[in-house]
Amino acid sequence: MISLYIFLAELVFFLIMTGLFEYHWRGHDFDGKTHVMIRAWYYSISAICLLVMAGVVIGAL
Amino acid sequence: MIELQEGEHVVLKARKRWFALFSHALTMAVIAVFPVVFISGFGIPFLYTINAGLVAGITGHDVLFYSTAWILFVWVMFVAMWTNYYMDVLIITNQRLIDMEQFILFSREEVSIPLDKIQDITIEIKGVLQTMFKFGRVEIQTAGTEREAVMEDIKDPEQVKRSIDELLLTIPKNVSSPIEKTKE
Repeated sequence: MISLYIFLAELVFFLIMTGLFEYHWRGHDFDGKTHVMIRAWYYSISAICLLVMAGVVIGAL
Repeated sequence: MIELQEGEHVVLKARKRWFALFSHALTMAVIAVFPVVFISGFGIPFLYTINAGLVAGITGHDVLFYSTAWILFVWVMFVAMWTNYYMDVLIITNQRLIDMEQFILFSREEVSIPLDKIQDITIEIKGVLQTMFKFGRVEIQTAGTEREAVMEDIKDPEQVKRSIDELLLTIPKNVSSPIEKTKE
């Protein structure tokens, strides 16, 4: 059960930080290639981590 | 996002050298993998813990879960650090020089200096690494005694100085514009 709470806390943290990042990335002068690259790296690695954590939590439940 | 005035175009954008971020990235990478290496160092190979029970009731799934949670946290912190690094930029237009410095996600300073206000440009390249990788410090002095724009670890400072020098030759001497400074 504690892993579920940690997963939810991590998810909330991720969503808040993602909102902050998108605010900065869109509001300032990034070129198109940088925009694409940073999003690709950020979302892919974060998704992998979240999926692994979700898999462990679901397996535990 | 900067708003260009009529007749204004960007001549050069200069950011910090990736090397400035490298040492911080390396530190973050060590912090990210340290828990996993620490556990592995106690004779518990990480790859074999998925299906094996361990001492003190820690299962392989626990190790996987908490390691992944830690790595995600460190990764998000690294992206925040990268955003701060990338948003430090010196923009040179044909009319002014804009120094944008991001301190943390909620703290930002922008200084806009008309080219005719620039009195002195100093570049400083110190040490073997800065010389090899061509990065250094750029200081822009205006009419006052305090330096208005200082950029550390900027990529190719000589090119920045050359660009500003070339632009200074083109501006008329009798135009006077104010220096703008905004802090968020």
